[in-house]
Amino acid sequence: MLSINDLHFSFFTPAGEVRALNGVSLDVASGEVVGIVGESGSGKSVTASVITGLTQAPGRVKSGEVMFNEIDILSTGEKAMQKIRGGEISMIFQDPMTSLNPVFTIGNQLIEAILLHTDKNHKEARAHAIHMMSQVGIPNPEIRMKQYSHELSGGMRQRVMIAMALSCEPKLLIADEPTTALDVTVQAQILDLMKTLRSETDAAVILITHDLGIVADICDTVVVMYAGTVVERGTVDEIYDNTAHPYTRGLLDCLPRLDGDTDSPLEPIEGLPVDLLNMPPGCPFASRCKHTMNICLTTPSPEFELSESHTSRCWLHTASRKAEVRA
Amino acid sequence: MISFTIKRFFGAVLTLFIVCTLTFFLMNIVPGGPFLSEKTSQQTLDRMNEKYGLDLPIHEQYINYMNRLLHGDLGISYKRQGFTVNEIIAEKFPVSAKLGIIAVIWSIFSGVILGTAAAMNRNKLLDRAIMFISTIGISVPGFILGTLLIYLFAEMLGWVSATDALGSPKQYILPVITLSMQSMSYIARLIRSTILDVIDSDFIKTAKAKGVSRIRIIYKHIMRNALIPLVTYVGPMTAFIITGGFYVERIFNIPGLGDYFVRSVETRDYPLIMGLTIFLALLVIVVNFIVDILYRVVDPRIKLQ
Repeated sequence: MLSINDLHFSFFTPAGEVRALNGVSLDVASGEVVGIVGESGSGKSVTASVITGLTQAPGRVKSGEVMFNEIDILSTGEKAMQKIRGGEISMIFQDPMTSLNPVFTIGNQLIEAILLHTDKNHKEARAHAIHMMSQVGIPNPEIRMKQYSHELSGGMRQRVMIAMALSCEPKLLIADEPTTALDVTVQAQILDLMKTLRSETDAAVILITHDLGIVADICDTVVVMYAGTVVERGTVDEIYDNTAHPYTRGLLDCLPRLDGDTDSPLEPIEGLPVDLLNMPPGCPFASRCKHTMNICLTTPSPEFELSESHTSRCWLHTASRKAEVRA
Repeated sequence: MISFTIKRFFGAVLTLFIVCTLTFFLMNIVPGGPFLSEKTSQQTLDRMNEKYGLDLPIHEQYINYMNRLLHGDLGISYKRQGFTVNEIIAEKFPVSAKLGIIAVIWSIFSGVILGTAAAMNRNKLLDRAIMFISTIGISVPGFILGTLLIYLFAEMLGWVSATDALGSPKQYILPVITLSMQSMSYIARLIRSTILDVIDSDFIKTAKAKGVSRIRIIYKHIMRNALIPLVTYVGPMTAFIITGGFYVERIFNIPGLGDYFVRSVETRDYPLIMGLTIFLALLVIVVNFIVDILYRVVDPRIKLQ
């Protein structure tokens, strides 16, 4: 349904070209939940903004293709994109505290989205908004409709955002770190809600996060990004049980484990993320990798296909060399 | 809301009382008196002082004045004989108010449009031009601008008359521009900076992600938020424009209240000084009250108490 092909995106700043995306390819099928994982600056959110056509100057797509249900997003005009945004593709953002307009009621903002994308009149839109609010577990939706965002807790606001995002039955929902700004108990509630809604709607979901726990919890497939490239992709089981890329390994080793030896220290990934202004010629992860070889410093690795659904971009796989795709 | 109004009412009474008392005693401390400029004998002077109660000890004068004030009587003007201060205000205030209100509306209207245009064209030529003009508008005092405008448009070009104050709609143009230039420039800068603040906020991103059009984002989601600091400024500005009318009325020969204010002080017309001061104080109090109510309307996060 969504297909991103070799996407290159850069910010052209006075300091130089910041290469945010360097050949990202990504496929999302109908009803699938894809997790995009990576640390800050890995290109997760930029990818989302390209999909929704919300990129901002000085950022620009250099090359590549984004197809959504036969629509070429990159060449679609602003008017048509407005129809798609909030209608077929909707988004949930990281910080529910600031994502709602403080001077309009919750109801006003929900109804606005519904009126924009459906044929409903104001009264029907209002009824639908109330229905959506009860569906995301907001008690007393009629009263909440008349309230302002400052009268709601963080968890309630994120529920409102989810209700808003789902109100026009999107085909694709992009959730950009939807639980990062919430405290842990509320996080769990929101994740439960997302799991429930997942089974109720057939929308595909792209879940952007840096929390591998969440990914294991609700995703079908995982895409691991580093420095604007997809370094590993696979089903949740493949990523967790047959971790292929050293970066993914590193991310998993950072996580505390309840079932493991409590005395074994957590292992951080040494070093800093690569400078996107001065990308090294070889593998971007080479400077932090424990397994760096000579070739890693000079030539970026192609994508090795480890199984039908599992790929990894690392020269280590030449040793066991299974197959090579999309060099 | 009701308890807020009641609290505000008592606050206003207290403020007015302080203003009256201060003005009354300050006015009397200033050397000179209302009739000293008239070349009369000491006898006549004494008789006039006696007639207006000015021979009494100062605290008795004060009590007498406050007593009359409580009955809504502002006294009789010493200089414009035969007229009560109430009558003078009733006659002259509409002239000042009309000019002032036009200037307030114009400065808000043009300021908001210029500010929005500048913000939407951030760092482009139009933005820089508007910011340049508004910097000048803020820095140049009204009496200089007014004089320049008269010289240019009345003297040199002869488009309007320099003497026929407010005689026709055309005659309003120069006084209104003079009166509103500073506030218009300030509002333009204020609106520009608030829009640029709001435009990068998360809820605008949400609105875009909902598919709201650019125009609608500006006039609905951004404007409503930009109104909050504007309301803060408009309150004092309205009072400023009315008091700013002092010199503008002088320059443009407008027979309004401002001109009387200046003259009343010069001639020690005590009841008129008192009356006009109290009236202006009342005006500022009322405007501030309206602003507080408006605050609640534009920003739901504010609770009145």
